[in-house]
Amino acid sequence: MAVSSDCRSSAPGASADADVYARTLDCVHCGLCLPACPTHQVLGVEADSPRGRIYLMRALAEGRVQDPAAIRPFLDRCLDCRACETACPSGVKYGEILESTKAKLEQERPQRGLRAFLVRFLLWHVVARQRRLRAMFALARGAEVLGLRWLATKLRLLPAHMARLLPPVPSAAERRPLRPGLHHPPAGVTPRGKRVALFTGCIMEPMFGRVHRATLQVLLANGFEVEVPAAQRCCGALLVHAGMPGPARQLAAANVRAFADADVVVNNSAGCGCAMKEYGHLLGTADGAAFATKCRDISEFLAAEGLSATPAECRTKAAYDDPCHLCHGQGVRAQPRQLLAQVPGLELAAHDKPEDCCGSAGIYNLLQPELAGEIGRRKIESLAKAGIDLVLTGNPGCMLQIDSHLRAAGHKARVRHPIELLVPPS
Amino acid sequence: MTSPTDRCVVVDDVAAVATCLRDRPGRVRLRGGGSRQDRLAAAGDATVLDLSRLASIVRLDGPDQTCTVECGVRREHLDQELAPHGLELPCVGGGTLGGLFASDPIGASTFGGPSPRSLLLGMDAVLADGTPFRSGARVVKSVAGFDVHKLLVGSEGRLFVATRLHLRLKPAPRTSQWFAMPGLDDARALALVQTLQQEPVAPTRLQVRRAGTGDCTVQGRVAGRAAFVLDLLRRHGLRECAPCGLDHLPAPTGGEVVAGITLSSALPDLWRLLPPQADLLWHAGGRYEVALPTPVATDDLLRALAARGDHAILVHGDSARRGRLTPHDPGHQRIHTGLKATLDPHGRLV
Amino acid sequence: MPSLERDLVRLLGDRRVLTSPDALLAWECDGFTVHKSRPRAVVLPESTAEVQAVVRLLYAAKVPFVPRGAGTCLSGGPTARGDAIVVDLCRMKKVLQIATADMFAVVQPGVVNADLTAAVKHLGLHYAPDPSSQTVCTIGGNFAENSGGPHCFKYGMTQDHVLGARVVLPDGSLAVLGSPAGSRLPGAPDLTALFCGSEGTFGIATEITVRLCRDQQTVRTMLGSFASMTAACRTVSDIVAAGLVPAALEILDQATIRAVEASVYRAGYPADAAAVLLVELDGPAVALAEEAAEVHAAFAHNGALRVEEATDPANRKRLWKGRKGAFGAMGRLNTDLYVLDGVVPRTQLEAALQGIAAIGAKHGVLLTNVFHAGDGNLHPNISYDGRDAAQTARTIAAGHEILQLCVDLGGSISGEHGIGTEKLDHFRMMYDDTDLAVMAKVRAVWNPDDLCNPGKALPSRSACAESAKWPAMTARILRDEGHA
Repeated sequence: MAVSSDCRSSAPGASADADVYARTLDCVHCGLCLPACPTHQVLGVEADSPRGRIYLMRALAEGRVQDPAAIRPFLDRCLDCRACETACPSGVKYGEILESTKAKLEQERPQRGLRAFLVRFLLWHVVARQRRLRAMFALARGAEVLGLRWLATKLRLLPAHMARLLPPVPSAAERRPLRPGLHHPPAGVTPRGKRVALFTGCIMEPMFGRVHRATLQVLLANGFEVEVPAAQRCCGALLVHAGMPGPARQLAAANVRAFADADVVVNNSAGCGCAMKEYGHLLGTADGAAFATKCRDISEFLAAEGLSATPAECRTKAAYDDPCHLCHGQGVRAQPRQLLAQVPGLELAAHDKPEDCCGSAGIYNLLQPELAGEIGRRKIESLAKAGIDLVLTGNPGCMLQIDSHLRAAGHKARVRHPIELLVPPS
Repeated sequence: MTSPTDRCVVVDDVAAVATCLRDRPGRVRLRGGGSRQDRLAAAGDATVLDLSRLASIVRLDGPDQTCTVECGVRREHLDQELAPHGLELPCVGGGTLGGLFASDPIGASTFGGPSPRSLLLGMDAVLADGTPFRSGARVVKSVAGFDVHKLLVGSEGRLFVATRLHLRLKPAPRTSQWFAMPGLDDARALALVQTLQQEPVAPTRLQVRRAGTGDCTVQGRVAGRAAFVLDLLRRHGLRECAPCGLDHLPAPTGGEVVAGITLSSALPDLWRLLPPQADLLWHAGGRYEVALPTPVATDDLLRALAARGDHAILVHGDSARRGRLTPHDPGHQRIHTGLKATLDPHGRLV
Repeated sequence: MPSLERDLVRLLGDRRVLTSPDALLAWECDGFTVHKSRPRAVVLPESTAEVQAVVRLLYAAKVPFVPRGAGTCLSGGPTARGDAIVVDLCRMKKVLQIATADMFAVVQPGVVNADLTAAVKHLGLHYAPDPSSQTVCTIGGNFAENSGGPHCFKYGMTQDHVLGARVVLPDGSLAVLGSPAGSRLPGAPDLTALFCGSEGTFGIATEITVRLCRDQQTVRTMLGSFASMTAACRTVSDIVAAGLVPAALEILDQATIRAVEASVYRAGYPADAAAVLLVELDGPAVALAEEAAEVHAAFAHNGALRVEEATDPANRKRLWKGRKGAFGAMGRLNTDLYVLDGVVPRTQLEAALQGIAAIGAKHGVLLTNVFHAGDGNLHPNISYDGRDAAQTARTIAAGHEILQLCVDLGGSISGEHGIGTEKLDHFRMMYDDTDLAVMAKVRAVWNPDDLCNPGKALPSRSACAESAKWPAMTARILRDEGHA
């Protein structure tokens, strides 16, 4: 493993290359990952399975691929949901192989065209910069209020599938960021004498500000002091998935610095949590690895500490759907269910394949609308069969995807983050 | 030894089979115990190759639950030898073992136990031109090579001569009990059969006998641990009786027997097609035989079955009419004919 | 694009015809990664009619083709030799019919084995054959290979559960084998049984009718550990001699136990045990208590160190965990794992294991044993580093001797993995030229032009040609020396 002190370096050394290649050799080609892979489920194509992709990436490393552009579509169709890692008996680090390979491909032959440019531009210059992201949402809200979205769809400036996927932009009050700095438990709550730092990420705040507020409220009500560091930034996961590890490393390094004083870094977004737990691999530094060990999903943290404040009653039949980056990426499965079981009145129903990807996968549903649509449709089918009124899932992308598919299917169920149900009665 | 023609060769050892086929020209009809000869089409002037004296049990490995027998070993002889080992050959059918497998009386979906197909592990055989060859293995599991030996099952001895069979054996059940429920109407007989079929451990034999009058008897055998046998009989209110299983229907005087296959759920359809005075013996798993009073009734039934796409063949009756059947799937027919042409190019085995 | 490919695209659309040589690398091999060959193209039909149309085109062009399911075969069965086109059946995954009263199902070949059981579970039914890869492997592949699994001892192999099939013959015509109601027309040979295990060389089954089994009332799983392999094998003999027919009888040897316990599959097997024996009984509750007592007696009589029993699904799963994870755990011991597959009569198990240990010692290879004891089906595993040519050569030599040992003891060179390309060189241990000629003739009836999966299952007549074309294992050595 190459250890680089310059975190802006985007080129892992030759030894890192060899390391990635060695990791492809862990695959014994048994195929046990095939049924776990959402794209193989839909397409039935070997090259669109984890085994096939590893094989192609290995062939690429061996110099047997003549035109890397020919295998790129198969890698791009991967959701990076990591379900294959759960299924793998040989412990293949699929995610790391994929991310390293995509970075290498992107570096050697950057994808051209307006769409690729737009994706890179948006990820790095908007999503990764909180102020610009906030401004963009403010603009979008304004445009919506003015009916421009309707107009854009009518004029076909906005593709129909995107229009369907994009939920209404939340109001300014909903988008209001958490106050940076230290928050104390309210009067009347027995303090636990423990301080946690809260990671807020990029998209959760403008889309689901209420989730952040609920997280803060639950932590405080349960007696924790909460620090919201002002200097924190986007986790960089979307950049890593897009094959842009260089910029991602900059963000990671900033987060390592911003949370240097924290003992525990709590987050409520499975994708961010998973990415931050992999900072050791991304940065290749001891600092990065140390930061990773401090990260906890909110459900993981609360389940370990135990709830002292009973959540408000919620008489609903709900299903908990595992975000890929929580169950496969972080191995967190029981904790959210354990916590939800403590919500008075809540009936948790079982549905088929809760660990299957919903098709959100970061910005996947924008890049691969057709495939994401089919994967989403299957998810809704399984949820609909369970006869529920509420879907609980702990990742903003999944919340958006499931919500938009529920709406498209005319299903009445709503989507909430599990933390929202843990808020005690006011 | 009686023989339909004066040309009959009785072989005393396996090697003699090859010699006979090599040395004697013309067509050959295989004969084991002779019990099924009247169910085969007429052999004309063929030489009868009598295999009944190839009757030694070559190897019986009790702990391994396998054995090797010559094709002329009689069923009851093998059963006798197996008893002290607590083993049995769990399939129906009598006569010689070669004949049993070649005629495959009940078919591959034999109910409540393994079918002849899965008990035949391998064989030593001789092609019609006298070339000896082997297929399969002696062990219970082998996927090396194509399972040419499985072609023996149902071949009626017309593809090759299987001289030695490697067989799988199973532990004999601790107890077994026959039962018979006579006097049922069609609906009740069907309901009972279907209920028994759904048992996790179903009866090892299960059949329906239906007289021309429409009067049905459901009969069978339950086997296993005593507690289980009693429990199953009790739960379904089955009446115990002496062994009463039947493999075939005898041909009525002047009448014929047609064999076919049908599922239990399609039995009512079959019943509707049967003329009065037609006896039916149906084995759970699908194979059935119908005894028909006249050739006209036979032809009517075959026509009606053909219209439904059902498989059936005339197995017993006037030798010139035997072998009449409903039209076959052309693809299956092509492979069957092809196999015959390649294994016995001169059509010697009849 | 050559005209054949254009015609295929016209038939299936460009998304279901893959021709990019780089993408096609993904179809280069199955679970047996030693023999590699990139196909000329991959086509993904979705119906019997499409398979027929594709095969007719290929037949007219005299281009060889290879049916493929999930590619979990361990002997190279679906590897496309000599520029063949892969007919990938992964998109044909519809369960066409479930007949509850008559207890059968009709499925397309791409239906995954475990998915069929999942589809009928609510009816209290299941599909019995359960190869270790059952969550991935397809019914079509199982039918072609006559797959086995740990529950074969009681329930038999795939062949015992297939009632019939619609088969696209290598010229594109259709044949109907068997039927849901028993096998076939009385008096006709059992073509379904013959087709099962033909390793994709007779045609492409596009609709397969399989028997479904009623779920058993009770299942009891017992795990006993022993101070010696001999004691474990004798326990198996005693259980079988008592007339018991357990659903599964599985043994793991000490080296396997240690590997499992050192891996993520840790199942709490006693690490000092020389062997563990897993016995699974299923059946009616009224009979099972008695049977379980007899199994316990056999354990005690042979001095079992420890016996655990589980009846609920969670605990049964725990006892099975080490067995199911054995290959994964072995795979982590070194870069490569050679999973052998041989059969001996059950009475020869001890002799076989001693012989195998001696062969391992002679060649200095790391050898472990996991096996289906009831069937005498051995899976000796050799962990090795394929990048080391000398080690690889020793592995190959040991494997060859082990198979010869199985045959010498009255057994077979394959119990469930098939011949494929892997065992073409070993075929003559069991069969002579005449046997081979008869089998070749039988294949020629189905596949006269040898277009359907050529070069599999049967060695060609000239004995040395095979090793020249497929230098066993050397492909891997060359590859890794060249690139590691």
